[in-house]
Amino acid sequence: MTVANEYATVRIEIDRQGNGDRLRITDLRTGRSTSLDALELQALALATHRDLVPLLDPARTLWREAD
Amino acid sequence: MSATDRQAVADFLYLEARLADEGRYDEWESLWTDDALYWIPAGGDDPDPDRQLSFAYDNRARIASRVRQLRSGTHHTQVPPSRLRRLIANVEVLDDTGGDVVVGSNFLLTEYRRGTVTLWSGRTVHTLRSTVDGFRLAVKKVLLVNNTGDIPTLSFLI
Amino acid sequence: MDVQALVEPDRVHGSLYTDPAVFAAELERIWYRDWVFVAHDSELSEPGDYVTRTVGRQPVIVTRSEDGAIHVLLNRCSHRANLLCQAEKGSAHAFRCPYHGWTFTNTGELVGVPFPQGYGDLPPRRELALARAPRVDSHRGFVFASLAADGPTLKEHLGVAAEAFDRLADLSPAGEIELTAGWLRHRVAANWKMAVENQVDGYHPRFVHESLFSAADYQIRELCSGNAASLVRDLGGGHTELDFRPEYRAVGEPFVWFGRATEAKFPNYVAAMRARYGDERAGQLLRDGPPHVMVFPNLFLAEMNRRALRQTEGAMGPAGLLIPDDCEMMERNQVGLAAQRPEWLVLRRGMRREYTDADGALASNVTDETSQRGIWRQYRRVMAA
Repeated sequence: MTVANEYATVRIEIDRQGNGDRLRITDLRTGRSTSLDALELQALALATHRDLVPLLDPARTLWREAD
Repeated sequence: MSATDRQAVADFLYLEARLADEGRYDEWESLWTDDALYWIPAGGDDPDPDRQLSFAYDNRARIASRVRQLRSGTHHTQVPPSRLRRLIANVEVLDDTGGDVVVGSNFLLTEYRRGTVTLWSGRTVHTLRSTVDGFRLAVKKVLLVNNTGDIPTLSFLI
Repeated sequence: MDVQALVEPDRVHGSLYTDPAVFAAELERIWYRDWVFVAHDSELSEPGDYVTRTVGRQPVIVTRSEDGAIHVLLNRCSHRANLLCQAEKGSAHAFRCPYHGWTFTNTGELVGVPFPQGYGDLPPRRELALARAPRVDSHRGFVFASLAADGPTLKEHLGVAAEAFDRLADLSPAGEIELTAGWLRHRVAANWKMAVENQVDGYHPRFVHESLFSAADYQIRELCSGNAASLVRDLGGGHTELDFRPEYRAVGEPFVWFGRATEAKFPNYVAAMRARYGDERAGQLLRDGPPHVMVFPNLFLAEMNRRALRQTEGAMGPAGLLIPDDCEMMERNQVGLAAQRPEWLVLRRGMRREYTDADGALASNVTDETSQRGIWRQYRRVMAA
């Protein structure tokens, strides 16, 4: 299924490869994806939206200078 | 559906349009079935009518009120009445497997009133019912292209 | 410019509706200073929800942050003024400008910019925050914003009119209303002040809505006649009311205001009202009905109820059977104002018989122009530079 707003569209699905289930999140605009395990997901469940703000910095994740 | 039947469907659409364009209110009203629905959604094309306001969601009784108001001659928004002429195109029979015929079409309507030309356009989905006297109109759903924004007064029959 | 000279106690100058300089002054002194209604709580039910609106001509984003607070941000990227939010409503704890990717939280803070090394030293983050309405407050779920840092509080601004919100919300057994059935947007070619004046005009219905009286069973004719017990009330602060309670109380039954329905038609609702408010207060609420109040400058309150969707559609909006005739009158007024004389609009009706009632409101017969004079009195006050 997809979750979208004005700024992003992501597809989420269960990733059953590997030794255990993970949640695969794919950014449909860039094609980049990640798979999160249950402990990581728990961290997200317990995190506040404020905690996520640093991850929203476009310099950090999408458009940083060449390293 | 045969070509003859398709033409009959299109002819009914043209008749309904002509009666509405020419302000022939009684004849237009007589096209409707008792379980009539005249629906102009607002804020999109497929809202839940019981949870979202529509510009119009008229049952047969409200259609009668609307026509009575137009016929009164004192409905100021239609004094003088709008001069109307619409084009209908892209006529498609969407479903004729049940008893009724569901028809989709596009329209472009030109309204002239008090010095101003206003264009209205969108898609209409009609549900027609066959009777011994020909087609009758059960549902008319009018999907204005601009129903997600603001529209001027719409008090003629669209 | 001296707008005050154009507003006299019993007449106003026609140029108030036509002069672009007046409109520009109104934007500065009313829309960008006064408390303006922007949204209802129920339109932002979850943290991260937002709606886009306008205050005067300025596009704004009304957001609900994680802590439950509501923010009114100007919808303009602090980089090069792009429109940050396109959607009418949505859910986003952060906004990313589509032009260059600058990213802001839904409280307006700058999170970051792409390729920041190109800037060397960016100004401090707080200087690049989104602009915001400095004051946001609400009453019974109705959210108001003021673009001025100082001024009367919302409570002071509403004054006696605050009770109207209570009358409305108290018609809910939960004490809250949900404004979640969408909006009907109606474009009218007339000055905004005509709409404010018309909502509380009890003189016009039998003329303007004659075609509706013959077409449908509509009570407005009886409620707005010279002989009616209904009243017009100037609540102060520019807020005005058509008060139909005297008529409803004279009948003494509940739901006279809702098509004369009976309690038997809504047994669960009536029971819930009694459970919350007790028999006596519930009886009073159901008999008195909703308010009919114009809150200066841009919020009109009347009956709202899911069951009344069909009733609302029959009356309101561009294809309604009631309000378009009012809008037609406003548009004809606007055309009439192209004639330059007589210069003044006459607002004398009822001046000799209005009186101060027990609540301190100025009241008169429902057909009198007490309401228009009250609106213009406030207008004159706020338009003083």
